[in-house]
Order: sequence, then C-alpha cells, then structure tokens
Amino acid sequence: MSEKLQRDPDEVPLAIARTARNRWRPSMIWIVPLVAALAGSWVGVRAYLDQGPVITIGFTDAEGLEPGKTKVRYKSVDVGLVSRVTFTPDHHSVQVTVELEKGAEPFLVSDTKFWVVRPRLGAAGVSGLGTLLSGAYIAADLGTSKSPARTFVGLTTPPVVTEAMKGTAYVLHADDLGSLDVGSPAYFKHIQVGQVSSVSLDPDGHGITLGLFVNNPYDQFVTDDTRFWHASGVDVAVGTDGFRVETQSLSTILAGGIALEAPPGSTAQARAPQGSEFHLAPDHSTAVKSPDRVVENYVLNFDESLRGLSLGAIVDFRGVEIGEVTGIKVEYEAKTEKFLFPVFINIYPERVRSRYLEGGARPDQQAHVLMTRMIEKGLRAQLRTASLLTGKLYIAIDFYPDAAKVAARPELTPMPLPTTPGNLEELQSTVVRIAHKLDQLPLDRIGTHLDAVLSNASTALVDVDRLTRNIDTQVAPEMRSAFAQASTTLKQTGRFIGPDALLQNDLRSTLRSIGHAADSVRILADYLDKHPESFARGKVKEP
Amino acid sequence: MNVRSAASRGLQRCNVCDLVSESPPGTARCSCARCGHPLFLRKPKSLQRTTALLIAASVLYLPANLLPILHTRTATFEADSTIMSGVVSLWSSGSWPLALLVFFASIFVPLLKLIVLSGLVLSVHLRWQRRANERAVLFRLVEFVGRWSMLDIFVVALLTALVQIRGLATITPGPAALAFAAVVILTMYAAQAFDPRLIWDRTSGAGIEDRSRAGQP
Repeated sequence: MSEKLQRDPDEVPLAIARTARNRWRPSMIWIVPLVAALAGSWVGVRAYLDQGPVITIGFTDAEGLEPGKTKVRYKSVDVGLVSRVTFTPDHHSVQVTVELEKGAEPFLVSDTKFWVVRPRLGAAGVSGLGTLLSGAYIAADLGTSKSPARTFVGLTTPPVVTEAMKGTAYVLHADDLGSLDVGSPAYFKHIQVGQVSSVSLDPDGHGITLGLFVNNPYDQFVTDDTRFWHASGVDVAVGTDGFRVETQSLSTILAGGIALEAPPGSTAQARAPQGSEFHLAPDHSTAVKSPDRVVENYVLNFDESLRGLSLGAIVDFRGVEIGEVTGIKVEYEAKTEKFLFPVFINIYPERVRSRYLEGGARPDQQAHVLMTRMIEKGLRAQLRTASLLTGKLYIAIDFYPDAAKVAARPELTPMPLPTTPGNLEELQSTVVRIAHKLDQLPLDRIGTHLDAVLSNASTALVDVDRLTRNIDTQVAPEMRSAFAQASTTLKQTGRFIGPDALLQNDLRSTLRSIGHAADSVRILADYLDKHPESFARGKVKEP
Repeated sequence: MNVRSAASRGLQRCNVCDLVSESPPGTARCSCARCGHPLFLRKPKSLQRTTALLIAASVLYLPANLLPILHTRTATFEADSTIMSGVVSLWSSGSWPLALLVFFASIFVPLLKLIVLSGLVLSVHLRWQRRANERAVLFRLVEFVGRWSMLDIFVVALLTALVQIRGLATITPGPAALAFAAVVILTMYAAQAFDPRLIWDRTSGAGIEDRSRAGQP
C-alpha cells in the first residue's frame, strides 16, 4: 500500500481495485418506507375499524351542543361525539349527528333514549351541576328493543327511570295531575319506593295517565288491589277522635307525591304484573274505599223541588253510601204537558257485598230482575235533608212496605226507581193536614155549648153550697152526740177488761188449774213409760 | 454549464481520509489507497435511499396531519386538536401571525420538502438537463429549512412537560406528534441522502454518466 502511495509524488495515487459485485441487491433503506407504510396503514385501518356507527338525534334546540366537543355519554362513559348540528328540513328543530364509538351497536335500537344533560333545578332536586363547568353533554340510555334504528328523537327532560334500574312500571289513571310531575316520589309506609316516570294527558282530555316506576325490593308489595292516592299537601280529617292531620313527607307537601298502600283486610298476595293499571285517588279515604267496577244507572223522578240536590250527592242505603247523583235534568213531556225532573244516579252494586259473594259477575239483565223484585217489596227512593244548615239534599233508598204499589219498568234504560215523598215534605204535608183539620173545628158552636155548660155548673155549685150548710147545721150535732156515746161505751169496755176486772181474775185461776192438771198428766205418762205393766196390774207398791 | 469534472479525469476522493486517487481503468469498484475505505464517485444508492425515505415520509405525513397532535383536558373542557385545527383556532382567535407561523412550519414546510425532494429525484431520474442551478438552490433551501420543521414537536414537548396540573389542565401528545416527528426526521435524512452532484451529472460529459451509473442500480 505504501509503495503505491509513493509511486510518484506528482502522480495521483492509484486506487485499489476490488472484486466487482455486480449482483444487484436492494438497499436496506427500503425497510423504512415499508415500516412507515405499515404503521400508516395500521393507523388507517384502526381508524376505520374504530369508526362507530353514525346516528342522528332530533332535538328541539341545540342549546349547549357543540360539534366536535359535545360528548355522548352512557353511565358517565363517553360513547360518542357530536359531529354536526344541523336543522331539520323544515327548520323547526335541530338534528344532531353523532359519531358513536366502535362497539356502540347495542345503542342502535329504537327505544334507546337520548337527552341533553344540563343543570336542572326541579322538585326532585338539583341535577347536572357538573355540566355547569364542563358544558352540556348528551346522555344515553340503552334500550331493550330489538328493532334497529339510526334516527332518534331526543327527550326534552331526562328520563326518571333508566333501563338499568330494577323495578316494575305501573300505569296510574288520575282525574287530575295535582302538583305531581315527572320525578315526583312515591311512598309506601313513608319510604320512598319509586317515582313518576311519565305524565300524559289522555287522548280524550278527560284524565291523566301517569307512569309510575316502583323500585325493585318494593315492587313486591304492589298487588292487584294496592291503592294509590295523591300524597300532596296536608290531609285534614275531622273524626270522632278529633282532628287528624295526615301528611307524607315534607317534600311532598311542597312538591307533591304519590302514596300507596294495601287496603285494610287485603288478601291479595301476588305481585301486580308490569304495566298493571290502577286508579290514583285524590286522597287517602277515597283510596281505601272499595273500587267501583260495576255501575248501574237508574233514574228517579221526584215531584218535589230539587233545590239543594247537587251532582255527586250521595245515594244512601240506611246510612251506607251505595251510589251518587250523576245528573239532574228538566224534561217537558208534551203528551201530558208536565214537567219532569229526572235525577240520574249511579249505583255501585259491589258495595252490596252479598250479591257478589254468591257468584261472580252477573249479566246486567239480572240486576234489573233483582231490582224489580226489590221494588215490589217496597224499595223507594226519597229526598232527604243532609243538613238543615246548608239545605243540602241526598237521596235515601229504603224499603217502605206500606208504599203504594208501583210497577217496575226494567225495560227502560236507565231503569226508573219509584220515589216516595221526602221527610221534610211529609212533615210539611202533615202540618198542613193538621192545620186544615183545626180550621174545620166548629169553634163558635163549641163556645155557646161551653157557655151553657158553665151556667149549669154555676147552679150545681149553689146546690153544693146548700148541701154543705145542711151538713153543718143538722148532721154535725148528731155526730157529736154519737161520739159521746161511743166514748162511754169504750170506757165501760175498759172497765170490763181492765187488770183488776172480775173477768180477768177468773180467767187467771182457771188457767192455773189447767196447769196443775197438765203436770199430773205428765207424771202419769212418765210412770207409765217406766212401768208399762202397771197399766194392767195397777200401781206397784214401793218397797 | 460545461465543466470538466474530476470524475471525467478518472479521479475520486476518499470520503474518510479525503485522499484523491485515480481509479484503475476497467474496475467498477475500488477502495482508498490510504485508508482502504471503499471509494464512490457519488453517494451510493443516493436516489434509491432518497426515494425510499421520501415515500416513508409521505406515508407518515397523512396521519401526522389527520390525527390529533395534542390532547388538552381542563376542568371544563376536553379536546383533541390536530395541527390544522390548531392553526384554525389560532387564526379565528385573532393571532394570525402565530397561525401563519405554525402553518408554515408545520404544514407548508414539510409538504414543500416532500415536493421539492420528489421533484429533484424525479428530475435526476428523468435526466432533466435544464435549470440545474435553480434546482441546486431548491436543494439548499430544503436543507436549510429542515431543522426548523421541528418547531411543532418542540412546542408539543414543552406544553406536555409544563401543563401537567392534575385536575385543572393536562396536555398530552397525540399520536400525530410521533408521526410528525418521523416525517421531519425522514425528510431530513432524505435530503441528506440526496447527492446534489447528480443534478449536474446528466448535464456534463457521458464518461461520468457511465461511472456514476455503475454505482446506481
């Protein structure tokens, strides 16, 4: 090598020849783009594979929803991201496009619920405070349906009941919502056992349908005859034991709630199935009454004034409410040119227990047959005054065996019940009758007769006076001499029977002789007892 | 420009000890007479290496720009931001000089490097003969600007290290940061692997062409 370098100082040294390697060899550098391509494609493939389903949710407004920022969460775990917020074609609401994460396929069923979580102040408390700082997010609740869906309608309010909660849902029908709302609590023996999950007006507008969700351990206490009532406010009852105030909890007084309870004497044991329907009573006392499932309608025609009779007035059978007034009308009957005042009543035959104890429900026709028989036995309706103070009337039904016979007309609907005049009416007519009779008395004739009688009486009195005087002048002296005689007689008698009287002395000596005789007899008897032989042999000589 | 190059005279320089030696005629491969290091007229497999690194950089350029580079989580807010979304938010918040800077440093410059280097490789490969000096200027530009492309990575590294207030604000680098760093490094290596002398090889004499061709596949 050194001699090569020093070959010639002016010459450029000659490079050393090497064996040629003509075999073409790919450079190792190609591994770099290969690795990059692999890494890039891995990222791409993963991004594609991780891409979850895209859904759209309709909301009334997009308050707090920001594309690319607002998350969709299920149980506080992110499951998606809002990618776009647009209007619906009619611009009436907004459509939120959400990219769900991979594995979110279970959410793609029709009853999955979505709602926007914002800070809320409600009767049930404050919720969503965390969103004050972090901003709104869309919460999801997994549905259980099987039908797939990619388009959803967001709820305006958070659902009270989520699918994960264990319990049973029931349906309550109420006449009025009161102060209830979604989320209002339900109490069983003052323990909160559930909440109102939905509130809707019936399609006909006559009532309210409530969804009630009873949480798991407590739903076993809901049986077919469990009663529900509004626990809102304070229930004040005046009874024989004085005032009684019933409330549930303080929050129900302010915010309303539902109470439930098994009625006294309930024997039902089976748990009511999911979706069972119940009536929501306005208060406790109404709730514990037996429900009236069978209703019979009757019409009553009263001759007297109906002032004081109102809708809802009770129909009373010897003090037991068995129905109520449902209608009061005025009818003009052209044929007879008379006004009729029909009163329509509902009777709840189930309140008459025995009729149902014998055997199940019976056809309506039979009710009329029974009623016909009752009318024959003197069943009548009567208007009675419930309170003299208010003049309120109620209808009493009772048997009047002496009432005039009326033919029952079961073929009419509603069937008319015969009526009998009311108490007050009867009293009034009696008073009138007496007054009328009084009016008919011949008072002036009675007066003259009385006058004559009185003058006769005065002459009679004169006679009596004379008689008395006669007694004074004639009878009295004679009586005095008679008394004197009697007195002497008594004196003589006294002398005769006095202690030193003759008769008395004689009598005393006689009695003494009799005593001696008796002693002798006794001695004789004793002797005979000891010596009975002496009776035959004579007295034994003493030795 | 017509220049007689050393190569055309059969001379080559050792890359290790800088000894100029004469290649023995008829041999394609030889080594330095002083240090024994293999002698090359041009960087060996320059075009191949540049092309490979460019392809790798281009592939990684996509995730670098599409994936989030920064993950910001504060008490009120949590977001992933890509380079472009950062530029947009900077622009919309009014600090457009900063937006322009980030845009040039992070999006435009890497892209420019990729395009310029690809163009150079293509021009060499297709034996363009014109505008050789302009192409050389472009190459110098690419080499110069290469080190500035790490600005983004520097910012991300700084933020990640500084903003770690648990519960209040946390910034973590996203997957794009890695890809972006790889793009920058790969383009720098690609620029280094490219032998700018190749630009003129096609314009000058045919003798070098043959010799240089021997080093090329």
